[in-house]
Amino acid sequence: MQLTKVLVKNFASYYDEIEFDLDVSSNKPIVVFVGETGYGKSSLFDAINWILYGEDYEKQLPEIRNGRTIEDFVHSRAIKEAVESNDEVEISGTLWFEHSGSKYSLKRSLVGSCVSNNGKPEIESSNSIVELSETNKEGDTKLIEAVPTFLDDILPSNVRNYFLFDGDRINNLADPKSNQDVRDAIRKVVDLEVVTNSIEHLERLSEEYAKTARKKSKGELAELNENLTDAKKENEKLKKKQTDENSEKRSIEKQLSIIEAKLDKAPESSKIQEQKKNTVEKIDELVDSNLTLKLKLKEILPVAAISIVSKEIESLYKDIDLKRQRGDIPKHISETLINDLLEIGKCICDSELDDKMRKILRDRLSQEKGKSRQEHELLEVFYRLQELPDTVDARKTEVDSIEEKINTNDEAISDWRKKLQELERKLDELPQENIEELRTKQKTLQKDLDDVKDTIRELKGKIKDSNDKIKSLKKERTEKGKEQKEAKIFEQKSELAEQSAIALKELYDDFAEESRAEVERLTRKEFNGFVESARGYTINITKDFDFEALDENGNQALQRFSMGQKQCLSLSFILAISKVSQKNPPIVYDMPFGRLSEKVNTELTRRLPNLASQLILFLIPGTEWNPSTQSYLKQHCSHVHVLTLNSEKMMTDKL
Amino acid sequence: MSIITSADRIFIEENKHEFYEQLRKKGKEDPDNYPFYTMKDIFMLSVFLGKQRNAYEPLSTKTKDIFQGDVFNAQTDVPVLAAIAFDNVESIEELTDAKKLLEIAQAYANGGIGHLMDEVVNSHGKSNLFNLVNLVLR
Repeated sequence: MQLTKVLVKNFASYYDEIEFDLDVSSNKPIVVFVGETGYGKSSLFDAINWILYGEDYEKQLPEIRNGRTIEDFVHSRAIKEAVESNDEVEISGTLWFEHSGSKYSLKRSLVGSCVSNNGKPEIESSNSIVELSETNKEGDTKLIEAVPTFLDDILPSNVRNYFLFDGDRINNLADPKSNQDVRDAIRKVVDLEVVTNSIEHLERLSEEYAKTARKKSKGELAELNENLTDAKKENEKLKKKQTDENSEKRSIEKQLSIIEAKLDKAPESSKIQEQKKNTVEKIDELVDSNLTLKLKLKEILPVAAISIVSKEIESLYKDIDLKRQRGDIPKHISETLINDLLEIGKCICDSELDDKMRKILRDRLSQEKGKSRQEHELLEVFYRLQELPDTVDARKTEVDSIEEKINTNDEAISDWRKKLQELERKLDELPQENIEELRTKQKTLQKDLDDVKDTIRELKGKIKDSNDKIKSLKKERTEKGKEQKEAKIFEQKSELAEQSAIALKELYDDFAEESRAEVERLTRKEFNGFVESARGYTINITKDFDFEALDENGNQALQRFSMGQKQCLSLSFILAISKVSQKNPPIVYDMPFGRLSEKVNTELTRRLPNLASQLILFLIPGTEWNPSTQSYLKQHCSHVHVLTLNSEKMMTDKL
Repeated sequence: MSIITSADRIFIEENKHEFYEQLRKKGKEDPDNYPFYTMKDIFMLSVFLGKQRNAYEPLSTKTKDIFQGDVFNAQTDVPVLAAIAFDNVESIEELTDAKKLLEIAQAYANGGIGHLMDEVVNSHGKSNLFNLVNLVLR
């Protein structure tokens, strides 16, 4: 199948009709749509899905598009115009494609009448229309009935998700809980549903024949048939239970192996944790010590800085000292001494002061007033200046020593930080688990496993007894049946149908196993081709349909995979499914690189042209459509459609 | 007894106040970026640098007082201010005049604060604190 053109009308952000060429050549198999978020990429992706899968896709829409229904996709301007002109509104999509030498066009439309609800235009009712036309090799065109089986043969609906998918789809597939998804994909893609239906049909047939045989049989034979039916039902129940219990056992064993792997590494982890704790404490201690030293520096630096003006200090000191030595300071008689003499009324020689002497002293006091205080202050400055150089030198030495200590500490902090980084790197490589919790969980799981094993053992015995009972009842019935010919024919038919169902079941299991093995082989091959870092792992799809990645030592490694590696694994699986299906479908891929690293993105880009004969990509400019992806992809692109948004009319346009 | 008392107030030019604020923080926080505890310490360093670089710039524009005179340490700061003022007075006795001493100190601080900013904040050293250590030791 190859898509050649798509046209959408009033679909989501597309107002009126807009058409895009999708036709590709074998050496340029890619079509790219580039547009910012909200510019209509996902709308076009939705439109292609809707045209192809109609009601099926409409049912899925609320779940995948936040509760929106197909009516919500009609462009608001188209509805408004329909209300104003009292006309109907149409939303439609047409897809042109080629398949097995014929050309087809498939148009899906929805025509609705609109009303104004409190001034807000909305769709009241709608009708869905599908038109499919075929143009054969001779150029004759005819309308054909668009029955689901026709499209199912070309691009089966049940595997749609593996041909038309978005970035989120590949994020989820490699999740450990997605084994049901993987199982469904493998079984659906190889059309095993047909076989499943046959098995169910044969089982029903066997049941009906057995019922008729019971009705036709009489007496002891009737009773035997009843017992046999009950025994078979019981046997089925037991086998079903055994399958469930075996599956539970494998699940518990898997969880246990993960816990054991974590516990194996736990002692190493706790040793490094302890080293990390000590290292952090050491760093904190040194940082605290440096803070104390720096605060001390702040305190003493202003005094040490006095050394900047040491010349000036020396100069003033020398000048005052000179004056002092010359007797210029103190030159003036102390005012206190004169005041004391006046108060006592006696001279130093003990003679009484007369009035004349008192007058002389008072005049002198008046002349000297303030001068002796100045001299005292200068002398105090002198004595302080004398002490200062020693004080300043001591502070400078202290500053020097503190600076050295801080530098030594800084070097030590740097060394410890390097050690810390190394320890953190080692820890990142080890599982970060609570050991106590792991051990408790391990004990619980171990007990569950023992219980399941007991149940399986018990079931095995019961199934053996049940098989023996059925065998014996059948034997007895054959003996009795000889007497009742009519009932015997129906018993034989029932038996035949039952045996056929069993044979088909075996065939089904073989086929499913072959498909699983083939998908596993192709997934492994695709994955190894993706990124260099993937080459060290062996990828398996287990019989329980779980992805399994084993490292070189055969240990489970999936839980250690980066997001990029998981995405590559999912994509490899999707591509494997696509190949096994043999449908050669176009791959339509919405935002494939959104969550990938640049390196994986580049490697993925290089593999894209070989993925399918037609690949339609919806990319965001910058993050996905960047110089690196453009430089490689452009040479393989038949078309690059750049989507823009006319913000005035709120509609998508193309450049 | 000290020459400079609590009655004296120390002024700087208002537009240079932000420089003082950029250099000072009390307490234990971030000594690397804030190498001074007090305005007085910044003022003293500015005076030293003003004297060393001969940057005598009497206060001219709008001024702002930043601390009182009794904040000066009588045993270290006052004698150093006197030694710095010594070249700028006619007689040694003038050094006991608080007004004169402060007038000279303020002029040197006014000229020196820019140099202090260049040396401590605008230099490419390990941190402002270590730039100051370099300034003092080397």
